[in-house]
Amino acid sequence: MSLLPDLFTFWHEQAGKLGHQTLQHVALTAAALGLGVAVGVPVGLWLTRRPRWQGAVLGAAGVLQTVPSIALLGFLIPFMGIGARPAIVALLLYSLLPIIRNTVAGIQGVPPAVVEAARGLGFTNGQLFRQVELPLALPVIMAGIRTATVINVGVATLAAYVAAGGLGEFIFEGISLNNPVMILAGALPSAALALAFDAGLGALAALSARRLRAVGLGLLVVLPLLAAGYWGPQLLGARRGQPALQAAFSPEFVGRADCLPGLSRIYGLGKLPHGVLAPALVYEALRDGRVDVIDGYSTDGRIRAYGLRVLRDDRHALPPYYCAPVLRPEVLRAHPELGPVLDQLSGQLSDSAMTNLNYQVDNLHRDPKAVALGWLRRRGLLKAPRPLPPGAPEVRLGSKIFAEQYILVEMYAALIRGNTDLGVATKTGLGGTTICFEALRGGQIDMYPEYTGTGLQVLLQPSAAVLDSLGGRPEAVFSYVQAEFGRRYGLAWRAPLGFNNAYCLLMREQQATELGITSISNLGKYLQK
Amino acid sequence: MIPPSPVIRVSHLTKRFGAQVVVDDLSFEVAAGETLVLLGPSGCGKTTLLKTLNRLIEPNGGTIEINGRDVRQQKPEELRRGIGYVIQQVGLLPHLTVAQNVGVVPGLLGRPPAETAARTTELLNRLHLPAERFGPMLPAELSGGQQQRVGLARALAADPPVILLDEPFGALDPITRTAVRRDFRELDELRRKTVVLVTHDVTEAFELADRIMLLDKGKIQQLGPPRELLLHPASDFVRSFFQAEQLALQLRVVTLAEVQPFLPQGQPAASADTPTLPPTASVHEALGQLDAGAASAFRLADQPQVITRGQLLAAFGQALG
Repeated sequence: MSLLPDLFTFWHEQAGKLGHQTLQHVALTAAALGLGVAVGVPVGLWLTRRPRWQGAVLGAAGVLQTVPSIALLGFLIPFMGIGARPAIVALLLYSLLPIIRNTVAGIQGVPPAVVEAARGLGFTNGQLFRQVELPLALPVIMAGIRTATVINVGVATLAAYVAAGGLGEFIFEGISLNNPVMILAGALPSAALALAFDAGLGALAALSARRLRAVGLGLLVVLPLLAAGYWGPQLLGARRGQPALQAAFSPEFVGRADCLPGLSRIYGLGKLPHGVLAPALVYEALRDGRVDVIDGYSTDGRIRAYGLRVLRDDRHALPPYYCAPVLRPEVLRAHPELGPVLDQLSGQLSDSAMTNLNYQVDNLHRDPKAVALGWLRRRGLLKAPRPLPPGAPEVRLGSKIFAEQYILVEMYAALIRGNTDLGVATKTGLGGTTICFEALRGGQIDMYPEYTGTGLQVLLQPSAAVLDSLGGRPEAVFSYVQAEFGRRYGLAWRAPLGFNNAYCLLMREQQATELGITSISNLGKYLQK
Repeated sequence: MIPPSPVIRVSHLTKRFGAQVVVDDLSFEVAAGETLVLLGPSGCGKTTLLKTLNRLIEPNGGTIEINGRDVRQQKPEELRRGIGYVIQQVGLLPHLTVAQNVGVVPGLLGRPPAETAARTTELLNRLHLPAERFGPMLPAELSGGQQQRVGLARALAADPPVILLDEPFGALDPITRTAVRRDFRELDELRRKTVVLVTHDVTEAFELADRIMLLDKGKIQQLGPPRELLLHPASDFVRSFFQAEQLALQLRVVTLAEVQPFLPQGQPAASADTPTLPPTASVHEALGQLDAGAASAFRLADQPQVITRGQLLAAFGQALG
């Protein structure tokens, strides 16, 4: 297996990025941990003096702990936007429970006889706390901080979803590109960081209760220093002048050779500073003015809803993504009447038509089925479902987990029900490309809508020479994908539906107009200035 | 002779926990250098009473004066630094060494470290814990008896005039208890101190007390020297409290001078090596002497004739008769 050499090669090639991400990861963790200690320990101490509040406060911290981290980040974004702030706040909230709980347990674990004797000898409350309770509780408190650290290092990988950076960038790029080397390239350093932090704090705790001051200093000085690793470079950057435009891209877009790296080469976007952000969040980040350039899909309904502009790919750098049904040929052989029915949609949906349908589902929150049937009706394609003969065979339609796919599947379902004697089962929301593809190959579904570019880049993954020869021409890509799917997997592509749901660069309409940017070439030129 | 002025003066002291009256309108005084033992069954209020003296528990009513000052006029911690305090569970600070534990109160009082170190060494040595060996140890490395000796040393370190002890020997096994109690009794330091000690152990009370305060349900049942409680109980409660150990206690309170009239006359004269006991010694002490030593008889100081064990016991019976 070549995983290990590949991994080292990857680290070697991406050493700069790895270092930067590690630094960010450490900084995020340290900042959250520093705040967690600054908040959690005093709260815990206060609870030992006000035991009546323990149930409520520990309960609340416990509830926070059970909120899935992705959900917590999503919940924070409306209040805090994207970037380091929501990430640090989320990490802080996760670190509170172990720190508070262990602080309470540590102080309450001090033997009552020791406290009584100390009081009886004439310790003031402050002296009792500083010289007796805190030193004796310290090992337990430190254990809580260590737990919080290990949690934080792990959860900090999710910071990549809100453009806060960290080792999650590699991990999410790797997941979206189906690239295990890339996943490991982020996951292994993250695990190593967790162990290193734990060992460091362990060493600090081993200084023992007698060195309370050393432990306190260690936490209160070292953590902010580590955290400064995040903002230090940013501050330096700020001194050099704010960048004109800020971009945020989804992990897949950053990682794929034909996306950001290709664009940077062809259009000279190297100077565009960018963060990595969850695909679901980029549109809102652009709308709210937190960033100025994002990647998106050219048929996404939010382009219309948020007043965004698609920058024209005037040099055809981005690969074509024409949508077409992919199916198992056995189904066509068994039910030859199916072919013409599916082809009723061929070439019928333009980019703007699809954008409009997506807009109705994504932004007007209409039912995908109603939207699909409405469009068929207007086109005169809708027929009443035929009564099913007993024991009629069933066609199983799959879809990935976004609106466009739901709509297309509902269209196909209606067409099959209206024009054939076949039953239809829909299995929508099958996650990403890999899941749909494997379900089709494994015979769990008979058909799903796929995009030529995805088939080419994610599934076939041809050599650079082949990619060059195809040159991003839609027809050439379709023919190649159709032939290769038949040869390699025994799967068939039908004719495309007409629209190209490709990656694109998006800006706010208003800003793009002000800056006079309509194409990616314009953007490149603007950045060169 | 003018009686020594009281160091502790308590009047109309009352403490309630909810509806329950734990200390009920108590008034008493403790003289300088006196050892007062608070005795009584569990829940009689003796520990609560003790803790009101150093304000670990604040009373609901009444006043406490120590050295002529109302304790409420002083900050609790300053009051406590002037009063030694020893508890059953010892409560040594587990993260400090034995020497550091002993030096805690002088440290709080801001005494010079060198002086504290010398005092610590002296106290540890006197309590049979050679400072050189035990000083750097942590409390967890000591046995229960050794820990309680450190607890005593810690209470004495700042040389407070008053010492409060709450069942100091209660958690020790019988052999260790006897040993620690003996060291405690023989400590010169304590003779000069005003001591208030809580116990539920009758024998201990008789052994250590100048006066015993027998408490029940928050009230004083009787306050006086041990022999008075034993020989002239003020109530049935007092009598029944000592019933079980009546004989052992009587042996402790009856002196040789009291049994002397009942001893037979005309005994053979003592030889030079016959042990001699003072008339103030108790019968218990005389019996102990006979059991421990090689001699089968003793004589009283200034008396020529010898007394045997049998004669002593017979006279003791007649004296009580």
